[in-house]
Amino acid sequence: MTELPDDRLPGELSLPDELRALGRGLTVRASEDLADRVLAGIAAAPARTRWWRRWLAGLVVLVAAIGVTAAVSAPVRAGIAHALRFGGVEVRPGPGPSPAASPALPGERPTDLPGAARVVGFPVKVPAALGPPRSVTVADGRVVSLLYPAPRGSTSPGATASPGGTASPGGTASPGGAVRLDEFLGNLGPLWDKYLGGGLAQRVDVDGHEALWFEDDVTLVYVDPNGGEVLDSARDTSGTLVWTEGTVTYRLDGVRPLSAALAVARTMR
Amino acid sequence: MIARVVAGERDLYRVLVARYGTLAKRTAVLCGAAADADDVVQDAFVAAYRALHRFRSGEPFRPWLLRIVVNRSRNAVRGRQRAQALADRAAAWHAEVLGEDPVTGALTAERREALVRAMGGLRAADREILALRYLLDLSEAETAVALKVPKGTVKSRTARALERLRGSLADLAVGVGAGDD
Repeated sequence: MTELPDDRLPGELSLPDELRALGRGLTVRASEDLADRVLAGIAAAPARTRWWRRWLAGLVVLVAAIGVTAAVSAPVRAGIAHALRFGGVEVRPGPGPSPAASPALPGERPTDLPGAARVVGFPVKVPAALGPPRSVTVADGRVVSLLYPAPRGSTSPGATASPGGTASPGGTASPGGAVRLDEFLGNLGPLWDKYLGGGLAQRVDVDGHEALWFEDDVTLVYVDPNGGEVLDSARDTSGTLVWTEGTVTYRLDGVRPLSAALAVARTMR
Repeated sequence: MIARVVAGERDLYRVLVARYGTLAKRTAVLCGAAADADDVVQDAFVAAYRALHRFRSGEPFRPWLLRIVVNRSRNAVRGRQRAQALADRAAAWHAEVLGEDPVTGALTAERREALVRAMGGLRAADREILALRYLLDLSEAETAVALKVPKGTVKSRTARALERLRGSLADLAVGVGAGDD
């Protein structure tokens, strides 16, 4: 016995054993309603039940949790437990983090279109339907974001825009939210059709390019090149269209309904 | 079971909460969460649920959960620190641990109080490691996971913390003696 060999009498407890005895005497118990409170806490964030992740040649860039509250059966949910990879985005089951108070990508800074293109090294496209963005940011040398105010008078959910047109998209923006178009290098992985059966996302088409539409709320989290999730970037979005053209992935959020989002996507110049 | 919870059987999570709720709360209390212990435990279970997809099957769940509880408890402690002096925090620890009426024949009431007082006066890192390793009787490996330190570090830190606890107990004994005289 190495513990307290000196002044301890025979039969006396060692200090660790005394502490164990102290621990056995603890009467602290979990509160009776703990399980209810925990389940309520989990249910309080139903919109964050899926993860997305973007890999860029092994460098992870964007993660998002999307809410799939539609009736997805347990077997289907188990089926999508692996991943849904599309463009530079990967969807994984599992809860997402809470949105940050003022979400920002690492080193996100304002720039202009030519400046953004110089940083990321690919041509930055602008949807003609939305016109010049109100602001442009570039982050971490790899993500360009075009920001637009929420469309005015966009209160009729049934409104559609004419494909290829240059008019306002005519859809609704996310409540109180602006429109955001992220562009980043990345076109990895196959589209796994079998995972699309569960109502996770809708497969659509943007001028012959594969695209996915996520009707439900999405929480986006930026993942840095080391794979670390940047929680300060966590941001709720609503109505997200993801599509790829060549090696670039585009992610448009804040334009609803799907027809309006598609109309915007088809005017990329 | 965790795989089934991740796959969407949310109600099964109740079983895990029921199984580990008391241990989680004791951990929170011993790590200084005090009056916030219930909130800390609730938050920790919600956070654990959200992180379950990162939990590797085959890994022990208990220390993984307790790591989250320890971190949340530390945050709760930090949240109170600006408003509370060290002495008050130690006193709060006493109140939480001693404020019960345990049935244990192994220790006299005086010894219990001395141990609790001495533990309460330790710095947080020492108190945490002694609490997890001995009061909650976790293995070295479990303590290492819960505190996110290497196993060898648990061994050395535990030994040092025990030494400091002995020192505090000796000081207390002297103090009590002087007070009585």
